[in-house]
Order: sequence, then structure tokens, then C-alpha cells
Amino acid sequence: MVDHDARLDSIFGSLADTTRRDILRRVARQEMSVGEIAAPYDISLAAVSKHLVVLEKARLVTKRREGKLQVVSLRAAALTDAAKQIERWRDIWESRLDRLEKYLEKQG
Amino acid sequence: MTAPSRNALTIVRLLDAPREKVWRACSQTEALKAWWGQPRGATMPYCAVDFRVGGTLHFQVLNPGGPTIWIKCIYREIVEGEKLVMEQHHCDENGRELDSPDWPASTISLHLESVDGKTKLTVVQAGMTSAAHPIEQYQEGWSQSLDRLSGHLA
Repeated sequence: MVDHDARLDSIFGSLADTTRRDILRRVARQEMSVGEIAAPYDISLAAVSKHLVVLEKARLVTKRREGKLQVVSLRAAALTDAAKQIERWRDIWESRLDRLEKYLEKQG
Repeated sequence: MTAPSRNALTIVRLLDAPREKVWRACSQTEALKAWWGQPRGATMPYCAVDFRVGGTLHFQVLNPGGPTIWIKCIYREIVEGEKLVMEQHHCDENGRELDSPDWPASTISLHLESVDGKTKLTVVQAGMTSAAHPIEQYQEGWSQSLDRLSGHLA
């Protein structure tokens, strides 16, 4: 119960700020890069990053690196499972299409 | 073509071959054996193609040191040279469907388009999440909860 309460405290704490609530609402609709998240606000990128750290600590969002971009997405178990399926198939298709390219080349 | 959904995977590849040739590679058994497998060293020891609407592409994927997977794709729509829609199921060696939350059924469509002698191939795979709980529903649910919570905290 203590853990649960601590988690709720951190969730409510992180949501006690207008900007963080707004960030979370936007990320819930679509994952975005840190730059995209920061764009509409009149605050520094560093300030946005601080807000993201609070949301990450509350385990509401998760951040991953995609090339030069840091992509932030909503952390919901169901969403993650669905995303995993999609990523698994993306790998399969990229590899299939590589083989298709080679096959077409060989056919001349 | 329907708009890409967050529930679907869309991959576009420009292939340096005329459309007729790409179509053959997507419809003929020998060609499919050459490329329609799975990644990372897996082999496809069995592959049977019955290329007609209602027919199936049934194949076995052997992962080195991993499980053997059987997959069946039922052809749902064939537009010669242009479009292919199939329904993919996880199955057994007899083609009996074994869809599960971990391996849900999905729909795959291939669209071929000529672009200056090359072929733009668009692959859309949809439905990897269950129809009862699409990603959008989770997002909508989350969005609403957050709006309510925001209202509560404001």
C-alpha cells in the first residue's frame, strides 16, 4: 500500500502542473520528439526536459532514442504491448523487402 | 487507400523493377520462397501458395534455436498487378488457426504503383492489436481520464 500511495503521490505531484498536464495530454494522442513537445510553449527546452523527467519518474511517459531524436510516448502497458507487435512486424517487413530487392536484382 | 492509422504498420519501398515483375515476385511460389520469410537467419522449409481469392499462402518458419512457427495468409482481394489483400493467421501445420493475444490475426495489403519505370510498393499491416481494444481506444480513454483529472486538479 505504501508503494501504491507513493506512486499515486508521484502521479498527482507530476500532474499538479498545467504544462505537464498539457504535455501528457498531447503525448497521449501521439508520441513526439522532445523538440515537438517544446514547440508550442514559451519556455526553454531545458525547462521542458525537466518536466519530462518528472513525468518519467512518475512512470507516465517513457523516452527512447531514435537517431538524433528523443521520442517521448505515453507509458501504458496496453499501448506498449501493441507497439511491440507493430515493431516486431516492422522488422520482419524491412528484412523481407531487403530480400525482395535482392531477388529482383538477381532476376535481372 | 485508407489513411494510416496508429493501429497499423505502413512501409513504403521504391523497388528498381517494373510493376509486372514486382507483381510476379508477390504472387509466384518460387519468388515468395525467396523473400517472404522472416528475419535473422530463419528458414522457410515449407511454403504452399494457392494464389486466388479464398486461397492461402501457408508457410513454416524455422528459427535456429527457437520455436517453429506456422503462418497462413488467406487471399481476400487480388487486383492483378495492383493490389493484394490478405488475412494473416498464426496456425498449425494443417492450417488450423491458432490466433492468440500474443499472435493476433492481422490484415496485410500490398499496393503496387509505377513510378518512372520503378515500382512503389506500399505494405500496410493492420489489426495487430485486438479489435476489442485498439490503440485508439486506450489513447482516447487516457485522454479523457487526463482531461477529467486536469479538471479535478485545476
